[in-house]
Amino acid sequence: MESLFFYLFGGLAVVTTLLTLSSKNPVYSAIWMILSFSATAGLFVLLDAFLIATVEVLVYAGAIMVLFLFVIMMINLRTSEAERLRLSPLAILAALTFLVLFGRAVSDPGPMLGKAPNDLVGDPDVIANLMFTEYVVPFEALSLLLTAAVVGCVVLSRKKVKA
Amino acid sequence: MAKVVDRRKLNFWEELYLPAIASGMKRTFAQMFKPAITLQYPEQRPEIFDDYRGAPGLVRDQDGREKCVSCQLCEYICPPRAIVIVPGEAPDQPDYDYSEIEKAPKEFYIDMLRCIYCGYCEEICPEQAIFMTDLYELNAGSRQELVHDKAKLYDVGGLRVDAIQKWKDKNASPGSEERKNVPPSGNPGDGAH
Amino acid sequence: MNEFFAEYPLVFTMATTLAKIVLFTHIGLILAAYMPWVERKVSAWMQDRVGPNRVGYAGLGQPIADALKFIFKEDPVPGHVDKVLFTLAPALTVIPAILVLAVVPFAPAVSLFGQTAQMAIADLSVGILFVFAFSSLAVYGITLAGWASNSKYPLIGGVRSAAQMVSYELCLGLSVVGVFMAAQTLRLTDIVELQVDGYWNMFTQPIGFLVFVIAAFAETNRLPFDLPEAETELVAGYHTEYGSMKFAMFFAGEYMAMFVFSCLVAVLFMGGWDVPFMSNESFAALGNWGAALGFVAFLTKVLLFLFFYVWVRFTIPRFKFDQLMHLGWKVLIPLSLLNILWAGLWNMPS
Repeated sequence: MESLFFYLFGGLAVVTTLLTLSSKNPVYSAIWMILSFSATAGLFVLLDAFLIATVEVLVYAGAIMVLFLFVIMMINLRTSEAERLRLSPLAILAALTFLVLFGRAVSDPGPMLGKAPNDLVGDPDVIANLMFTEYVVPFEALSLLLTAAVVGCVVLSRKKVKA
Repeated sequence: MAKVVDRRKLNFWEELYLPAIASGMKRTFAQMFKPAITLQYPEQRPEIFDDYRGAPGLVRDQDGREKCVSCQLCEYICPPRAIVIVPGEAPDQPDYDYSEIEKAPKEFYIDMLRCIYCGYCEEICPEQAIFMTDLYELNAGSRQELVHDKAKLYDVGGLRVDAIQKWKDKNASPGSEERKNVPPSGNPGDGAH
Repeated sequence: MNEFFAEYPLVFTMATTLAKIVLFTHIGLILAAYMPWVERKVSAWMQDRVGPNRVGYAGLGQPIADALKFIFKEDPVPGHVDKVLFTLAPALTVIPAILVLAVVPFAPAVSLFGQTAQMAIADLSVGILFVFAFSSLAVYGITLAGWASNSKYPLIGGVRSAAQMVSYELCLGLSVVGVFMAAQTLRLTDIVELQVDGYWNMFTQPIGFLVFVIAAFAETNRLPFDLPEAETELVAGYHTEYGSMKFAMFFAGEYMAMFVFSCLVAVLFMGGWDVPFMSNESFAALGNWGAALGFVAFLTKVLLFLFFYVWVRFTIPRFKFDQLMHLGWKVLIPLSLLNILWAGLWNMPS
């Protein structure tokens, strides 16, 4: 039963991600991406990681993709002109880097492989306790970084108004 | 020179807007318990006042004769040009004591889809032959049906006994005494139909 | 029976879960069907009118007549639309609303055949987050409808709704932080039980309550925040091109969302199934009657809040878009942060 759902969600995630990449219409890309996130959330549910699953839906499928969609609709991208794929050296470099990293990740899954999912992973208590005790400094540093990035965005995108 | 209108500075409570919203909510809530003024239309009818301008209709006089002499003044005055009259000769009747009348409408059309119920036709009619009735429900399955023809217009207007009976008084003949005793009645506009 | 279920508790769980799904979603659906009637009646009373009174007693058959009309109407799909998304969008507005019902606790736990059943379809440990996760998906239906219609007013409606819902989701989420700070859990049943014994959150956190209510109006696209549909300027916005059952689905989605948010307000701020002067023990002492009492109390609160929705609709006029954004970002978010501070001080471990 569980493996059935695993293959269901896993297959869905793979297929929808492929469709995200191959769709010519940016809106459809965004929708496939939402489905892909939802399928990933389903995989997390199978691991009893309810918190991560809901956050996946809440943050990625919910908030971020709405912004994507919003931007796509605002700039009114219709079907993108069927551009031919151009292979720039940078793209090849990026793809190779990703492949190497991915290969390393798959070949050496680290110490967590084969361990049963912790029952407490799904419990917000555990994560909250860790986040606000052991990892409080990285957590705050990250939020500071994000805030700085947001402020930076605002400054960069602001139009210069002549006084 | 633009005029600068000073806005009153709102105090703290006014700036919150919540008291204003609360008073509005109170108002609507109180309104819920007031009686409805709805008229249940097909069962209950609105009261039609005397000068109501409903669908125009042609009227017959107290003897059932048509009053219209097809002078076409109404056709002329009609702002939306809803009226079309085809004039014709008055019917030749031996006992017709209104012998001055030479014309009568052969056809009389009012396009009720064009009519704006202004009442000019009634005002201008020298013969008091056309009246605004209290008929306000006009409906039909086709546009053609809403072009009222002469028969329909007489149907709408009906019989009408007027205070002033112009032709009759002009041609007062010995045999028409009893007709003079017909009581004058009716306000303009309440033609029976 | 008792022995059977004691031996196979899974069967009991599945049976009760199915029963709960059927019961609770249908409460939602029936209320969603009757809300237009309530709305028309209440608006009529507020405007000195009678309201629907022709179909059945006091017009109670009106929703059925409307539904029949919707079913038998022609289902037009304009030629210029994106057919797939145009068809999908109405469903996408209804589904998230129904999904959120899964975590709403309707009553205290019921004991049957020696087993206890929680009166929420799924009593998740991440209850509130689940609610926000799925209610945040509701925006897709509206946005995609606007985009797929491929016509200007729906597009403006869709873009507006995306902007509005993203903005107000923020203060909606922040206003609830205080609640789970007080409860120290995200589980909705625990939050309710805490309020049953203590004070309702609307009294301990009035600012959070206010912000949540305002944000709930905005999230459900109800007046005074119905800018995505805004009949007067956008000719009904995102559902301009829709007709027949597709339009009815948008309607159902809106009213389901109203119902869900009423449930959430009841659960998070108005003590859920709590009746004043009752404690968890007194509910437990009454047994299943306690559960029934709680259920009635909960539904009463939900209905009162639904009435409030309608009441506000016919009192407060629509905001302008800049006012909407001003209220959301510059007023409600600071207020909800203030509420978090307040909740922290209130629940300071002494």
